[in-house]
Amino acid sequence: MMKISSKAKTTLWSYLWMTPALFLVLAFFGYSLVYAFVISTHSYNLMRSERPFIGTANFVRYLTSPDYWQSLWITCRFLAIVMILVVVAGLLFALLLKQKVPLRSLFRGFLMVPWVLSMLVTGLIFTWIFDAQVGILNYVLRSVGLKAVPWLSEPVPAFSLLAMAYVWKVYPFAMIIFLAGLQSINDEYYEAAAVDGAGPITRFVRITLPFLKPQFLVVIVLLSINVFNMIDMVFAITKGGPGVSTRLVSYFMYTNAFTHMEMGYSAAIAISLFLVNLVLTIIYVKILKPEISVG
Amino acid sequence: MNPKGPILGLKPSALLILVAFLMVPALIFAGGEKETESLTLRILAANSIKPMPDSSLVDAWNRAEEKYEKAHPNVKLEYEMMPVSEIFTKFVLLVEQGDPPDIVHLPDAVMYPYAQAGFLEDLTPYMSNRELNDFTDFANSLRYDDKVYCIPVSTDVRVLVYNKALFRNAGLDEDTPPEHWEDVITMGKKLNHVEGEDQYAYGIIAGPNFHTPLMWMPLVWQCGGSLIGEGGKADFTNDAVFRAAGHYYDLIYKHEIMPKTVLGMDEDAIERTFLAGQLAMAVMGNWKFTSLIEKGFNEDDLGWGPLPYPKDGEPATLGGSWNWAVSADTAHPEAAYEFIAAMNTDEFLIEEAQAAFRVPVRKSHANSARFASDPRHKAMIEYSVESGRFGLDTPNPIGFATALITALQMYWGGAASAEEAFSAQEAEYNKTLQ
Repeated sequence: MMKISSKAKTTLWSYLWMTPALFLVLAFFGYSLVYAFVISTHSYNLMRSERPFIGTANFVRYLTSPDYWQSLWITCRFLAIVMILVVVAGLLFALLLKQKVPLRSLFRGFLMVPWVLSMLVTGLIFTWIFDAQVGILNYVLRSVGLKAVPWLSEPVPAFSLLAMAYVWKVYPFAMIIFLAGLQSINDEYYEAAAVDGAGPITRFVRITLPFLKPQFLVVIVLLSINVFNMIDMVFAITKGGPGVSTRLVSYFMYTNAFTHMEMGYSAAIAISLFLVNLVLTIIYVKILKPEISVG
Repeated sequence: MNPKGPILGLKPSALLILVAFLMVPALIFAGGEKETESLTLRILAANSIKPMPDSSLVDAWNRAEEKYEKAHPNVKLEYEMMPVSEIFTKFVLLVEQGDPPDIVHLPDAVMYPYAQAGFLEDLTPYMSNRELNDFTDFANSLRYDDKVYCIPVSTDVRVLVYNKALFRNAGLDEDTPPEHWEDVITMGKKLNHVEGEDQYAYGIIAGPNFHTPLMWMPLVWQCGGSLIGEGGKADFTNDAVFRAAGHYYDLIYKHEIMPKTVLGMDEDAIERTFLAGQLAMAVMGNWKFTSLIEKGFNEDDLGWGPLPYPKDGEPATLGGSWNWAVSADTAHPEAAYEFIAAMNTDEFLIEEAQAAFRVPVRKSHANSARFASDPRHKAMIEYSVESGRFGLDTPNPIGFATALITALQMYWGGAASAEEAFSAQEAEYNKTLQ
């Protein structure tokens, strides 16, 4: 009888335990992905009963669509801005929370509040705060003699409002990741640097930042995936307007699907987003790989 | 056997009577199995379908519904309500899933494409000749292929609403609203900032929502143009469109009598702004008249007038309606139609139109004394009949409206010239029709 090595047995048992989860992933995600590929090759409009096969026409359509590239550009610009703000805010609060101050746990809980709200609820809250007529922010501005800002009527204020709402919602995530990273840094490094005469800024730049490199990469990659998939907050606050100034590529896909009823075209755009997410996920896994190997 | 002798202990005549007696219940309930079979009617509708608890219509609605439920104890009504903006997509998705509602309550804008796509049941066979001949021209305009696919309840019309108190404060005649675009500008300059920097003369919604193009479209018609070309394709690049869009643009940037914040407003926001006294005039649907009064606006200070039009143009406004329809795939078309008929009694239709300043869609109702008793309402009905235009005869009205909103916002927001904005969105929408 063939002897199975213990390593092979471990591998087989690993796959066996993974099977139920794998089945669920294939059933929900895999089926959806395959179906999306199928309908992306058809002229699939919900208002029409004929849905002929058209090959790559939907892909050519979005690749040659100025609106698609414009949405992609708006998304990249949005990502760049919120990335900087989220990283700075997250790191700042993480550094503050690392200090041993009274009621630290209470502050930590308080700072986590935005994270527990959904994107849609956050968007609605910000819409009411920034409403041009009845919003409290413009009320305060008027009270102190300043001019009210037409937050949703002009491209730059609307874009800024969306970015502010997103940063407020997401910074706790970055804060927790950075806090975990900070807490893993051995204090002896700081003590040794202090003995060598290094000031706080030097210790931050030469010790803290290098040790936090994996955390930076994790935040950047996961944030990127999140922004490329974000529809709910855009829907709640600006609906892509004014004009198209806040129409992120995911929202562009959404409007093509549920306003123009162009399911085939939207599926093709969705596949482009899937590929972006796939690349980002591969990068994320490569970042984590050293941690898994050590574990 | 002796035929005249007892059978089963009974004389033949007695047996005959017994059998006849026993057959009576069987005859009564024969074919009645359908009547007692319980069924559920699913109704997909906007949140606004049922009157609010403090509305004057709630009693009429409840009476009609209770009467139907008493007459049909085997029918369970299941409402699925949602915001107006979501109902179009929801219905199409349910049809696609093979799980459509039995009854749907939709605006007139989507009736034509939904009927064309085969989503709706032809209701013509269920209606009597009297009913079919009683529809007004507007109701008849909703037919597709000369068949009735939806039953309108009443129509609305876009009008100019204005604040008489601000008119008085500006030294203007409170009973003379502007008739032409040119009057809007002249009067607007006097009405601007009468009550402070935040108070403007004029407001029309221009936010990214479905009502924006509906409020703006009449301006194109007033200039003698149209937005829809052959085959239902978008025609955004004609002189009338540029002129109408330019008029809005000038109101905001050149004459500064309209606040830029309209670019983020929906119809509720403009109502709030008008209620707060921050707009002297606003373009609204006439259904807002009742809403403004119910929300506390002084009725004596609430004026209305037809939409201003250019001196070298023609009067025009947009009318619309909410309509009952039956899904083509329903298993209970007769029961569905019976419900619609029950909710469209003469009593309810007249009461509904009167309560909300709406326009009746039955000829027999139009001359009702209840409308004639209110001169404002009578005048709105006449305005709707004379100048109202209806319908978005294009295969995807929602996509059309979205393309139009995008073009308008790009131009009014300063992101693109009128030519760039409109030509791009015209091309984008027409591509979806290929």
